[in-house]
Amino acid sequence: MMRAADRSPFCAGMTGATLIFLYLPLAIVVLFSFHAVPSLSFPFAGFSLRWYREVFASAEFMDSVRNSAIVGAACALTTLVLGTMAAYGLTRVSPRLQALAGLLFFVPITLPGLFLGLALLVFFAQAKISLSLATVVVGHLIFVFPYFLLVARAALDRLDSALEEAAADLGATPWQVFWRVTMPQVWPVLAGATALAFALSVDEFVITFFVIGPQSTLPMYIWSSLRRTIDPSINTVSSLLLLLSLLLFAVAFALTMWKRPGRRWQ
Amino acid sequence: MTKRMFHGTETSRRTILRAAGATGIAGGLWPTFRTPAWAQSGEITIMTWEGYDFPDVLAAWKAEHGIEVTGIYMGSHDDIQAKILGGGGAGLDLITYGSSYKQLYSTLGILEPIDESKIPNIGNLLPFFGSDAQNIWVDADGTRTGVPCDWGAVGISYDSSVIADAPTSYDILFDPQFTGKVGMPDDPLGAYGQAARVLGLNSGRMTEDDFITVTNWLKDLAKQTNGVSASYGDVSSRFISGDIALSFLGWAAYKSFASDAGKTTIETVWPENGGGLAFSNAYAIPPGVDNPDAAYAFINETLRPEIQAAMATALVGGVVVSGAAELLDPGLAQLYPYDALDEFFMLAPLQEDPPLESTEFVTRERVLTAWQEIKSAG
Amino acid sequence: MTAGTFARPKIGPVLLLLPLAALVLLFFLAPLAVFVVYSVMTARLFAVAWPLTLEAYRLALTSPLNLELAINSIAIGVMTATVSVLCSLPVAYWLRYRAGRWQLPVLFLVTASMFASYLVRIYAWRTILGANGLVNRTLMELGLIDEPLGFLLFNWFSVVVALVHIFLPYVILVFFAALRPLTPAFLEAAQDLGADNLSRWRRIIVPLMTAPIVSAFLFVFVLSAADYITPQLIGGTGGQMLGVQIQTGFKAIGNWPLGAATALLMLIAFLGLYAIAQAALRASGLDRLRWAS
Repeated sequence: MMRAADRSPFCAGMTGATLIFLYLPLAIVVLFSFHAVPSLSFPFAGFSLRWYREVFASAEFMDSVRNSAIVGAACALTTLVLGTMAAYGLTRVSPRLQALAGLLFFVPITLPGLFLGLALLVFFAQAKISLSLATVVVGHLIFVFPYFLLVARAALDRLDSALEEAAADLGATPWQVFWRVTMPQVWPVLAGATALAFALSVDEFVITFFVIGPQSTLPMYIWSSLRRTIDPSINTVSSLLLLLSLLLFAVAFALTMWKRPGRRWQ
Repeated sequence: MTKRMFHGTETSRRTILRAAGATGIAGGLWPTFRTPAWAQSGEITIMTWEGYDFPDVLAAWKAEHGIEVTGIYMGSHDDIQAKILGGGGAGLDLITYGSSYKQLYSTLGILEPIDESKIPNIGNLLPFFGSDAQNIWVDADGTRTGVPCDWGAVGISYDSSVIADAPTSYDILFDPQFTGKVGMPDDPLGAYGQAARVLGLNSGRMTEDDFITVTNWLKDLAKQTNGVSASYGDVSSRFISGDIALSFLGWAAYKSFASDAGKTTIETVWPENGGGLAFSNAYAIPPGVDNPDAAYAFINETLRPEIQAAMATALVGGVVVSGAAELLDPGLAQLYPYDALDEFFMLAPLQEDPPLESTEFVTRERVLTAWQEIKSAG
Repeated sequence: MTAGTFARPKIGPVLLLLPLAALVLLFFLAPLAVFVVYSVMTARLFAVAWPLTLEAYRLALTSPLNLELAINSIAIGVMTATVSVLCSLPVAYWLRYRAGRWQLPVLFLVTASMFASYLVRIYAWRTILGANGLVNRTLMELGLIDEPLGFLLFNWFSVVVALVHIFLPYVILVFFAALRPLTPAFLEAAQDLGADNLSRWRRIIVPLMTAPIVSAFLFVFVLSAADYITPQLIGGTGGQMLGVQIQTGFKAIGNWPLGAATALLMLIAFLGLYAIAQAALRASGLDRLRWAS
């Protein structure tokens, strides 16, 4: 039973301060996306939808949205398939192989995008592979899959293997065990992790900067906007991205938190 | 004997892409069967600064000929050679190069010879750009490597609401009252070029001592800034937000950019002491070209006076063909002294870059390396 | 049926791992190998050539600028990681034990803040910290200062602020996940046995959290020390970092071996840190502490 001294006002205060800190720049971004004049500094000169209109009328913007969507989808789906396979496989191999493979799959997350991007650039140059959206997908895959695996492995580890064993004992093939016993339990988490993969890919800039060909993705579009005289259209793009990601994330969040057998919120 | 381990394009990939390009041309011709058989059409990809693909200015021309222009915008000039040499150059039909990059690009072999007979409008070029005394667009042996499309000049830009009188010397940049309020773009070759001019030297011909002098001058200047801006556009943004009051390598176009954002007080001057530097961009054809005919047609179109005037308006720059200056808006026409261009180019000559390799003078690589130190100075 | 007759296919699971492993080998390990080879080759403009040489490493190690930038990067990395970790601990604690029905909404808010475009978030700090920015205008409006504060932006301070903003959500989530198995019942038991708040922190929470704290610290340190975008946008002259040098070496100067060598030296430093941290944790036995579930 909580005593008065347990309220932890300091921690509550820190949480509040943190939320303000986290959302102040975002508030600025969204605020200035409605700025009536092409300036990103105060004083604030009034509200207008002009940047939203301008951005949607821009072919360059629409192209980069389309490219980002293509890359994101390709990356997310590939990650889903390969990642699920790997996560499932990891639960069933010997502990030694599990540790080794686990390490191999974990290492990319520890390396900054600078190295991943440069190494890929050099590799593609050496292998004479032209830079394009395909090379971007590859770069994103390497960056994204460790995150997917983290979530997928956690979900699969939490499963009670008794159900699967029972199914196997009743004569189900490994594929049937996977598809008809395991998947129904974990598909929400996997769907959520896939949405996460998509979102990570859409916002990825650091690696993309090095391995992209003549096309442009949304972050590259923002980057070239930053190099020009700045105007609030980048705020507009970011606000739209935020909105989209929020929606995606809400879906993912709900899915990963939902349907976990027998668990309640703690 | 060293072996280059690395090539720009690979034959079989080029073949595949040429086939794809041909299909593109066929596809592009379909709706334009009314145009003459020799007419160029299809798709061209140009890698250049933002805006130099002129989506709006050339809209009518593109529609008429069924040519689609895809622009890939570079963040810095070096992106071009990085892309082409890094394997991403297949399918690029056009690039632009700045006058100071001519030597590098020729050495790197990414400028294909341009057939002047396919550019009827080439005669429109103003004398300064047509005679090309510096062999920037036509080599000494007569091979044309580029067609100029615009130019501009940098001097000292300043906020006239903060600095009432136009600066008369580059010393103002070191004035203590402006510490932290000076802007400087990430343009190492431009910076060395201008700094050398102020110091009475030539950055294309610097001895070791010259190099140290110029480098120290730039380091002191960097201490006056709040960081070198990642791009020219960023300097303009800092003017608008009030973070800087004046700028080295100040581009005349800032006036226009800032005015759009509501700040009409940015001006640019070319002081007698130090003057300024000019730059000129030219269209060129890279090795990966898929659709040369359409590329030539594009270049040819940009040399028409009306199109030049529209281009200069879009870029806030200068025109390179005769008859175009008269078509400019007064505000734009006053940006540069068109009635005395030759004198102007003496005050602000086309930038000359340090040599790639030399035993006598300091090379480009050393300048670029020293620039990294300058960016972190102070 | 007895438990244990569940016939686990011997080959099957390994096959499942192969596609991803192939991906990692081909597009991660192979590129790194090529990268290592590049670092010992002779530099040509935007190309490499034989013979093998250690010239690039010599240049990278003896450059005073590299030293200065490395120190900067380390300092900024340490500051970012420290602030991130210190601020995240109370937040994770509150989320785990004090949030009640606010847990989900706040968790959502924290995580959602990550999705607003890395680039634009960095740039937004200019609008906040600039001479005419939110902070300065507010302070001047309130009459607290006469002249705008110049030290807020375009230096290491703004870089750290921006980077903390990027990494804080990650660290909060990591700590929250780490605290998950540490049930309130467990803590209450400690309380009933006489431990006060501070004692509980010192003797239960912190030791059990050491491994996650160390790994989160390292994660943030490595990623922020290698950042090359933030310094360019808001770093000024004093906030420049090594990552920019590496990126410029590749793209602008065209000296690939030098860029590769500098990057690899940085990588070795990071891997060394990870190894040391792992060893320290193992030596102190802190990595083997497990929760009661």
